[in-house]
Amino acid sequence: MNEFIENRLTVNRRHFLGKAAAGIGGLALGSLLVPDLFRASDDETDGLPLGVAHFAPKAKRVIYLFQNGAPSQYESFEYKPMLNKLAGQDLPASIRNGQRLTGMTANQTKFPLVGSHFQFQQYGQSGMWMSELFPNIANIVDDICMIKTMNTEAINHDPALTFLQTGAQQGNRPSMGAWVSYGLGSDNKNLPAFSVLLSRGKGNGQGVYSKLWTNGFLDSTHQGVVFSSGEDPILYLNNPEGTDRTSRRKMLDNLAELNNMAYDDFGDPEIKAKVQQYEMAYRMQTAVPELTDLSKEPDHIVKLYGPECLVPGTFAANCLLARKLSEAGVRFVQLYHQGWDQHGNMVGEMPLQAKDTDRASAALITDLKQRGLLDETLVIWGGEFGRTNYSQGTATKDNYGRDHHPRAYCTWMAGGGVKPGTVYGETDEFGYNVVRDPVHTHDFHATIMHLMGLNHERLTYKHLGRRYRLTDIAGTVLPGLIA
Amino acid sequence: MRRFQAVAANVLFALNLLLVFLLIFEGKVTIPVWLQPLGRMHPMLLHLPIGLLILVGVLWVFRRSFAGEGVEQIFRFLLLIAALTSVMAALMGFFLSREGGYTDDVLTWHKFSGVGMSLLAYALVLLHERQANNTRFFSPLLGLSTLCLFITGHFGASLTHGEDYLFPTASQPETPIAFTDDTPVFVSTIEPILKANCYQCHNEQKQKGQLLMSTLAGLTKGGKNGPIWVAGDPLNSHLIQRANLPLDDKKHMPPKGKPQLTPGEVGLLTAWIKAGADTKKPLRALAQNDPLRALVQAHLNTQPKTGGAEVATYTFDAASPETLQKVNTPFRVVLPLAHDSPALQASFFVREAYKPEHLSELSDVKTQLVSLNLTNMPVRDEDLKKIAQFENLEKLILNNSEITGKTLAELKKLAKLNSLALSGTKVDKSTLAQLAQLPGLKEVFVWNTPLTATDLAQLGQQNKGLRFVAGYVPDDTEILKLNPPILVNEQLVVTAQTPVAFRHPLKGVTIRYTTNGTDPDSVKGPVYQKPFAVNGYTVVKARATKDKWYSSALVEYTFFSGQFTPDRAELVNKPNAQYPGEGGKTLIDQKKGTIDNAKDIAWLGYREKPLEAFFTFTRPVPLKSVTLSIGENTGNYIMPPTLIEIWGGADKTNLKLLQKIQPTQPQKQESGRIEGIQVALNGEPYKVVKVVARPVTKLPAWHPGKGQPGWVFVDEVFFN
Repeated sequence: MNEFIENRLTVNRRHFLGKAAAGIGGLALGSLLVPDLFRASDDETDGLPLGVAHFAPKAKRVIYLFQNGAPSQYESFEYKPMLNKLAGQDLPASIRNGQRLTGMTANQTKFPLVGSHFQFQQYGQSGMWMSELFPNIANIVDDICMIKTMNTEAINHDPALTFLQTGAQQGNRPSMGAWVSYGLGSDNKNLPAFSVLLSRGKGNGQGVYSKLWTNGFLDSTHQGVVFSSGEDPILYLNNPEGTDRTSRRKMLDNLAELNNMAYDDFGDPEIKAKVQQYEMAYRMQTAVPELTDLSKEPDHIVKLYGPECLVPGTFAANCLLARKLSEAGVRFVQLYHQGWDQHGNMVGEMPLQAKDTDRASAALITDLKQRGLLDETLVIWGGEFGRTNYSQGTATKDNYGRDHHPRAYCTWMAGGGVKPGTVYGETDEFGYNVVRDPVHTHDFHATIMHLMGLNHERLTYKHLGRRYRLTDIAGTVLPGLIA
Repeated sequence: MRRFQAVAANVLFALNLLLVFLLIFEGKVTIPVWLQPLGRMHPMLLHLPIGLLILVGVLWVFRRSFAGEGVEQIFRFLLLIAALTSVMAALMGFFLSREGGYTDDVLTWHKFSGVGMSLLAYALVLLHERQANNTRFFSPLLGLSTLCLFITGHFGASLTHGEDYLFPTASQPETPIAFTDDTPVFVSTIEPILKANCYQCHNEQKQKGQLLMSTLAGLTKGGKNGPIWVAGDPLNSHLIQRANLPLDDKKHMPPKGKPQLTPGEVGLLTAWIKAGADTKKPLRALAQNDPLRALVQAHLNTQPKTGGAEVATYTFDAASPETLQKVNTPFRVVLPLAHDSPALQASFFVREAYKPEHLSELSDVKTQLVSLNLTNMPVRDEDLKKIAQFENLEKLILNNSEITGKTLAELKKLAKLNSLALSGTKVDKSTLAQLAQLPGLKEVFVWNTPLTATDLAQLGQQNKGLRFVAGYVPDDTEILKLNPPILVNEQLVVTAQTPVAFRHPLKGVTIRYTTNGTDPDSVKGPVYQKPFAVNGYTVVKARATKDKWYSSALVEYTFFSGQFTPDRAELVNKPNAQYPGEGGKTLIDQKKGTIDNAKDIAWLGYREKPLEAFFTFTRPVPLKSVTLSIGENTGNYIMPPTLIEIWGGADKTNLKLLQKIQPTQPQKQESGRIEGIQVALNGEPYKVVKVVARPVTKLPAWHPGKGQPGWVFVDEVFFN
């Protein structure tokens, strides 16, 4: 029997459902507005629709300046003069208190404390302490909320990174940006809701992998899209040579007509999805050039972000691009800057890393602020854990290194409804343990989701028989961080 | 009928027994999931016993008005059904109650009255069966049942509709208080703890132990054992002592079974009493290192915010889903603020797609729109009139639009507009003067506009209460370092088609370069004008310079170029098996390796044996030089060759030695790099050339691997 005829005779379950869904036209169109409207019912997000905030958000968008490799808190934001005083002495066992070590310092017989090689000073109205390596961030301390007590469960880069990005150490769970895309949908329908920008520093680096921006078990539309670090942030967007925009349009219209005919015959909803994707790609052809166009920027933007911002693939260029993406409605822009893993040569590498990031990070805050966007954009700056207060290997007069430390580290946030000009939490005089207001990774996630107008306990997805959320089964929103 | 009644009576007995049993062992009972639907049918079934019992009552009252035997039977039947439905409703209600989520007090009342109701109904059945005409007991019992019915019904309704459903009280919604550093610690921290844990038994209505805690006077007075705290002495304060007693102690407070104080809360109360139990002292008055201060701050940080003043509530109606759908396009996105909010936010995207009528089309949602973002859209002055119709607009972003500000006064109708972003537009001092007419405006963003610092100062003077955000103003005294020139070439092999090309992304930058090994600076070295060619092997150094900037760091690139490309390259000795490259053609494929990756197939690696290769040209070429591109990485035992020989002739068997050199060897550890070694020839034509490069046989004494053989790495040979 002719397979085509056979196909038309068998209306299988999928086609039937697909047709039925199309039949309820109004409802189906409603799902354009709220992308996962129909999925909500089988995921049982307790009646909360997807694609819209659960409650009025403080932050509409996030820019996460991830400092990959774990920047040392002692050379940046955590002023602990006690370490300079006790330099060379062993870390008291009562302070270490059974903390496990990495393979890199596990065989060390001594844990000689080492203070910062760099000077600290207080800045701004808030009197926040800041190392001399970050003069530009020091200028904006009154806009930021410095968390001193971030803590995580992992002690090595990969699990810690994965934990901070996905809420679990093992991988394959959706990344924070994917959850936000799933929960809030895309604002600008012409750009991906979750964008990822990569840059490499000059210090000892650690890799980043696509599992950090994965959609996990969520729909692949929520996956982070990595922008290329070359001149063209998105490749293959230009029309082929000899094809102009009009003929492209005509081609797409005709193709859509053919596709719609196929849809009428087969009724497979994937055909409709395909048409939509072609349309989005067509719109991106105009949306993306606007992103890379710097003609609307004044010349002195170069001085604000630093001259590197014109060199694609640098942290500064990514900060500028992140601002443009965010301004264009991209919900979650994730930057990764590599090179912060100073196990040795802290004195040599830390200034280079700071120089790469300091000016552009501060510029991003200033730039968002002067456009009236800071109050609705949450900027986060920090790594996956902190570094030890003792030296890895011997500390000489001129140099030392620091190993991984998960119990307490610094991360700062700005804008998007966080309390500006504040220091949250406190560590002991050794900077080793949290004394007050710990911020566990789950709490951190819960608070960010809250700022985005999402109830982290109710944004769930059912997969393999259980409901998953970014915060797993924990996490408390910390009102002390919220303005 | 008789049979039915017998069965029904037994069922009635069994169900009532089950009900009582469940009630007694309530704490130990878990309701299986499949019973949940049964529980949820409670609200449906419960209306049956209500109706039936009232009907029974009415029939009883009018029983003498009917004649005949049938009435009695119907009455008995109705009573039986009423009792049956009562016990079933009670059981279902019990299942439902186990799902939780109901107010405890009301639920308890409803539960007990409901069970009582069921038992009373059963009692009525029993009584009626035994002594059908005994009105002396039956009438009051029926009355009692009816009363019980109303009580149960009332509490049930309170559960579903809320307690003040029947008699709505005009209660004030509790206004949240925003705590500041000036709020007394007692008010912000201590009182809420006591309220949550103690007021239940120590309030104006109920004062256990004659202690009233819900008023300050009552608190300070204390209970029958005297004051509950001794200022400054927590250990002798009843409040702390009671809280610290073991849970099983009768005197432990709050009593066992009630919500308990957390250790943190006990700690706070202790610290507060220790600090003097001052009910007036604000947080600000506490010393920075006061432990109470830290505790209070920590406590407040974990409490949900009460001062949510900024969460606006909107009274207008939400737009219909159809309207929302109509106003949404890929370039104009209109979204609700939150799923239960009628307020909408609109954003426009893609400048090319914008048309002024897109703005007018938003009139369908003009009431609901509270935020409008037109960043980068070519909005013109006349369009502000359209924006002025969005009566509830709070935030308007017009950054990089084409407005000049002439028509800003149009926006004065927007009473709620508090934030206006005009960065990157042509607004100036005179047009911005109109902002004084905007009633609710609080902040204006005017970065990157023609406004000067004096303009801003004047505008600030004229508009008190209006914040002008000028943003980043470049500081001319701050001098930054330029980034280095960027090399355009992708390969370090230069040909006629791909000369050396540099660029710099910043406007007005001068690039200076040298090819002779000297360092260019802001005055020395030729200015880069256009791409240039190099011969053989050249080190190019370049630097970017610009007025009012520090010159960039120096960049250095080693370029190679070959005028003549051999047809064939054959290796006499095989390279080391670890670094075989792609055989002979590796040396003439114009592909350069990198020094960090010796495994790259661009490299040939030799150890112990020398590199020896024949290069054959189609016709004799006049050679002035041969350049070997070699790797040098002392740490990896990769050294320059000790000896290079160039042989030339007409064919392989007829070669003469043209030149031999001994490259200089490093004297210490050096970082890895790629270097060209140029061997000069006299320009005579040769068809076949043989190149020999010998590796170090014994590494020198300074090297960690002294005495061992070194490596030679070559990725390309160039002929000029």
